[in-house]
Amino acid sequence: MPQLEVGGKSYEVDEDGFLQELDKWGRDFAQGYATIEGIEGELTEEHWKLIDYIREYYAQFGIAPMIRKMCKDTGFDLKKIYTLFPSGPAKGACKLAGLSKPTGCV
Amino acid sequence: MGTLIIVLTYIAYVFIVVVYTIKIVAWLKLPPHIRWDLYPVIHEENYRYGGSYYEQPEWWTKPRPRNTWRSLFYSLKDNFYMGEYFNRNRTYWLCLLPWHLGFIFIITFHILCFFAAVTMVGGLEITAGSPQLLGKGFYYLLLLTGGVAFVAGTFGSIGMPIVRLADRGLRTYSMPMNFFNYFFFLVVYGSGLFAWLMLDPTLEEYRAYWLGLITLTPPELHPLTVLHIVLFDIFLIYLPFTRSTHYITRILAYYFIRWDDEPNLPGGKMEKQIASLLERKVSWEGKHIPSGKSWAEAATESGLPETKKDTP
Amino acid sequence: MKKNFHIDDFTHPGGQVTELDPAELSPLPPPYDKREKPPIRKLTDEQSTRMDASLDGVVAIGLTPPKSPEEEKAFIDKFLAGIEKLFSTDDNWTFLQPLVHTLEYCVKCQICSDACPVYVSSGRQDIYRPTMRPELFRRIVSTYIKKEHPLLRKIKDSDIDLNWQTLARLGELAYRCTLCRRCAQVCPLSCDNALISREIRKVFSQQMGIAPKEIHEKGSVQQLRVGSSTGMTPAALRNILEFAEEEIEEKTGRKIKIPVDKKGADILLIHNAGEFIAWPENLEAFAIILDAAGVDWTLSTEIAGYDSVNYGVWYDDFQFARVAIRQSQAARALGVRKISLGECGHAHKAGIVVADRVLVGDLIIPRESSLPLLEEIVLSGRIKFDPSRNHFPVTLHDPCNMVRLMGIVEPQRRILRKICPQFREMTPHGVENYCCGGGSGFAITQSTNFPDWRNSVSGRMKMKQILEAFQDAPGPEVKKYVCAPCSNCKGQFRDMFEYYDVWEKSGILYGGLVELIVNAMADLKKPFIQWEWH
Repeated sequence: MPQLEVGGKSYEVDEDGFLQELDKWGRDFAQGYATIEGIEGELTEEHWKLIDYIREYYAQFGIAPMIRKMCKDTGFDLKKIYTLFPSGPAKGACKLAGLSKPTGCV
Repeated sequence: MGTLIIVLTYIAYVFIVVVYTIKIVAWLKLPPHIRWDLYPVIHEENYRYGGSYYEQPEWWTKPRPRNTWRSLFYSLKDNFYMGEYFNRNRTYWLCLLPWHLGFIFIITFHILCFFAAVTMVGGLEITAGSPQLLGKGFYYLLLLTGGVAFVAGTFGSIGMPIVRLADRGLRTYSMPMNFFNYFFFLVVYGSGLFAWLMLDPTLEEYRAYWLGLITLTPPELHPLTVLHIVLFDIFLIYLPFTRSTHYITRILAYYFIRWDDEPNLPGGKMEKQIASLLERKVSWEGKHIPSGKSWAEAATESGLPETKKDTP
Repeated sequence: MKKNFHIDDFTHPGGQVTELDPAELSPLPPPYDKREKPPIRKLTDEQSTRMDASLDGVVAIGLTPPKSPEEEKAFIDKFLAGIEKLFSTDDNWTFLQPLVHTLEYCVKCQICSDACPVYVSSGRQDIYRPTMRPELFRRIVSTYIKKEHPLLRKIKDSDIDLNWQTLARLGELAYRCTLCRRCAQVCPLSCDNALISREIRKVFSQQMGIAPKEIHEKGSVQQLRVGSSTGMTPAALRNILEFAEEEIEEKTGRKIKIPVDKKGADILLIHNAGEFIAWPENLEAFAIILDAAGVDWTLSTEIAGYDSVNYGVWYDDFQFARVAIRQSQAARALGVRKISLGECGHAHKAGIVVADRVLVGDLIIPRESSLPLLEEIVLSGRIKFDPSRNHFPVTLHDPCNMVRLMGIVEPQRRILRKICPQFREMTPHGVENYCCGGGSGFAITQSTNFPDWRNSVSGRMKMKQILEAFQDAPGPEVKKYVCAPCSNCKGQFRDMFEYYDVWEKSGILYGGLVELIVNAMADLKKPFIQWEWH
């Protein structure tokens, strides 16, 4: 398994940088990863709103929320999400939230 | 010499028939497989665009008309036409078709010789000037089939190695055996062509040969004709060792694989066959497969983690 | 002229058999004729130590090299034992006949090469010829299974010198074929070279326990454990359905209760679970149509009963049978009369056709495609349509599994001709279609650099076909729609369209069939298709 240095700590990730152990996630992981993802500076309240939403949904249902639902529940449109996370909701936001890569035909 | 070719010919024919039969039976005895159909399926009503009975709602309640004649004609036709090659690689087709027509016609020629000889025993005269119409007919038919066989076979056997070497893909996938075959078949057809053109323009010697075969009297033949006949006998013995059975197996594969769209309906014969195949024991070693158990067991329980569903 | 491929290229340890040059790939129409934007990414040095990419620099499986000669020998021996099992009725009755036929009767005439979109798109790389895998396979059988005399092997040119790397390359190569079976379709001898890809995958999976993670561990294994390969639990499903019901109400003003686990319903509808997570508009459209037509239907929350996928059809007979049986059991538990499959190609072929000879007794429950049912509804006049609502160019993608491999060709076309005035075909289409490039699990293989290969090579022919179908209005100002009644194909289109910036450059949206049907329903206040969700 590849390791990734984020904010001075080493994490186990998959080939595309998705965190493998959900319980190792911390806010410092997200902040550290933001730099790798090309998000400048500190994560804003809006970033955290989305990350927290994703994590809560995942904790409850075991999967990432569908994008439409994410938009509806957070009030962000897709464009806004791409502004916040240039790699998009799945490859950006979910990655920072520490979720593993989506599986199945999605 | 005459006796030798009679014995050799009988051996050759018995051999090819027996080995072909064994090969075909072995093919047919392979177990029924999982459905793997590929469209268009020619016996289907909407075969023109490749449609199947699945296009109807509740297909299991509807008739599934099959046109067996159409599919039979379709599958046989290609033995004489080779349409995919005509459409996709014309140069190759120009050599491949004559090469194959050589096979078809030389066998047809000999079979016709046999019947001609039978009628000759019955008193028929087979010549161009025969008073009997049948005799005349046989004469020209033999000339036609024999002539086409020798010419097409010779042409094909020369052309095939050339096109194989000229095309990058074909060259990569050629093996020494291919070239041995082309050479050997060239010798077979070429010797026949030579004997026909130089010594025996009416192909009379073959009728004498076949008459000798069925009356078991060694015929008197020219050594060059004998050479061709011996080569032809060896050719018959050699054929079963090549992929030549594909004449038949390609058609079997149409019916038993590509066009096999027979559904498994409750209480049918197929259900019983499948049930018995599902009893067979598996020995695959992957961790997720319970080696030593039957298919039915492997497919229903498993070497799988818990499969409990969580409460909704 | 290219250099001839030689078997040593394949067996020689070290190096890479083929280097893909973006300049050699088959050309695309403008504005896509410029050099590929990111060429296929190279593995990092660290990845290269863990994963073998010595075939073409791309990784689908990414085997780790053995640590010792003993380990290498054990690997090879186990693999060969697996090849032997392929020829046993006990272990492989499922495909023995087609396998033996192809191995014995292929004359290597290369007619199939030009039928293969991967081979042609790659700039005709020898390793991608459909005959390549069978060639290696035959050599292994001749040398190690039948142990033919060296002289005979010489004459037949059937020698091979096996080492770990050759097998690693063979394993990867088995995942460079989308199993679209165009090669088999043109074969005059009824051989099926694509089947050999699948048989090789089977040896890797059933014998060695090796398969791409997305397909096995996170795919069929997860489906059998949780209920869906997406990891979606029944609880998550219910949450999503609630959301879908809300969306339906917002979009159409209709209050529809999506039936779940309704005992004794007429139809159990099984969607590809991808619809629930990535394309909810598809399942919403189904609900709207079935509700409007008064059909008695239900969804299930049983294991595999709410996810029609059956990845086993791509690589493993046992995983295949397990999922097929689970789906039938789900239907039996509800006491439905029949199963209808939503818009998913491989689920069609797997569930309706291939599963046919795995199910016995009361597991034989009638299974059908939802397309004929939709056709019946649309053409019956039960719902009023206004085709002018679909007044934009529409083309139809034929999912291989539904069309070439199953013969469902016309129902979807009769629907489109009725409701889409600007419907046009691709060339070629129907049973001669080209794969989307995501077939046989490729669309879900999302790891490392495989998506680069899939977008630039295996999907290339389809990309070209789509652009050509819309050449009368190529610019982004005219919005266009590729109708792909298959989740897997949609996944491929999503990735490929993003890769090439298709929305920005050409204004092409992809989506399913039911969305177009609902979009044309005369009594809806606003359009159902939302172009902003491209």
